[in-house]
Amino acid sequence: MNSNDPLLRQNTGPGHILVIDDNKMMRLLLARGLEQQGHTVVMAENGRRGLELLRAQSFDIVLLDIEMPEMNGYQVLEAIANDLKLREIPVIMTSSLDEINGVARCIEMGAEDYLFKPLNPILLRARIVSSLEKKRLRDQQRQMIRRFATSEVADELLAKGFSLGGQVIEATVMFSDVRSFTTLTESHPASEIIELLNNYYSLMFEAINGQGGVVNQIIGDGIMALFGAPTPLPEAPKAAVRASLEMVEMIDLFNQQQAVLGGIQIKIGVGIATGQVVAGYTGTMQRATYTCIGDTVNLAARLESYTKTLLKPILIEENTRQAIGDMVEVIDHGPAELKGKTRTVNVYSVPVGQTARS
Amino acid sequence: MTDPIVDPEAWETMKAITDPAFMIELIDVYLSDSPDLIDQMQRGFAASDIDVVRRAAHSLKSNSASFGANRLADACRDLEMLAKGNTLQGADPLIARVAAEYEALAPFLMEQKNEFE
Repeated sequence: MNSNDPLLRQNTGPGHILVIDDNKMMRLLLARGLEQQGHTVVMAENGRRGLELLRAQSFDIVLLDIEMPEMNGYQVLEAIANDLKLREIPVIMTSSLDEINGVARCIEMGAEDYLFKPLNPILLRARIVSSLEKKRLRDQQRQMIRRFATSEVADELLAKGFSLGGQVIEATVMFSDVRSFTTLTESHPASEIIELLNNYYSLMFEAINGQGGVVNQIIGDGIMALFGAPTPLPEAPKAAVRASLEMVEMIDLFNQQQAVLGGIQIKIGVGIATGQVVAGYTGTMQRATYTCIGDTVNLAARLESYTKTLLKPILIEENTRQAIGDMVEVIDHGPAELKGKTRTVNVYSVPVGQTARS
Repeated sequence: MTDPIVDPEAWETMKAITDPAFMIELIDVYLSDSPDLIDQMQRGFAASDIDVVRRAAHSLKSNSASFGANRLADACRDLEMLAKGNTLQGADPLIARVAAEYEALAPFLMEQKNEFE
């Protein structure tokens, strides 16, 4: 990730903080404390006004009073929780010690932390630093999801939140790789290789996302994509095969363009397998990745490797072949012994250059 | 009542984390807002509007506690708690106590403000 990434740039430096408090003295005190710590502060005198500001500007943290006219802290919290665009902003409740029950209710409603009045400047600093850090980690994670998933999947994940822990689900897994990429890197300058990779990724992501798939990992020049996970996808195997055909077509077009420009041309190999996978978020709540493991994943990777042996760009196995029905005519290559597999696997290649029937 | 009008420790903390100009601004806001809040308590009481009394007591409590004006903050808290119990029965002497504590505090703040200037 480069430093021009707007998200990463936002990750350093002070925060933009909204203070919602009906009490002028409190607003002044909070703003003063926060500004001394280098943050920029916007103040709202009641919940309604605060919500207007929240929808008009982008804030890193909200400091929210409970007891306010027009719209109190609970109502503001509820509105924030129901707004997809606002719900990720950390809210710190500011209240008096007497309101401890109210604070507990606010935490249950989604508030991140609390500060008691009268304000203690050291605690104020600690809470803000901690919340900013958490917010920034979450922003990074969101950004990663957005990059690696279709917007539908991203929205669903962001709406439902993460839960660590796995489940066994049925999905179609795709591996794709650039053929002879290693030799390419030896004969071309690094900058040209990186530009090529970026173009390649853009094309592949478009084909995969276009069919409802999610790019789960990129390793070097390899891509692992999922169809039917993390969210269910009807006819996932068909979507994966359609995506693979598009990918090969796009690479062909790309090569024609490169031929004219005198640039590097590439070939890809794609392996697709359908079956049960163990899927879930692994990591910590602060930093988690969606992971898929299991035989189906290994098989897709082996099939992708096997394209080098068969010299066919797209290979699938039995489950996928059965699931796609007569969408495309496949070529039966019979049982093959794949690396790491104790039993032989029936391998089929999907011919390119024919239009898929839906 | 053995407590001082203003808790010296809280007052010193406040002075340490701010500067004279800001202290003056805070005192000005406080001195201009507080009579309004006490007025709201009295009028709310007269109109039997529990919510108005509760809210005014809540605000004055927070503001006063910021300065370490704990005697006034305590009086406000008692009134707020009473109102939270959904009654204004017995609020009258509490409001009088709030007003009296404020009368005792205001000259101190004015004096401090002059020192800052």
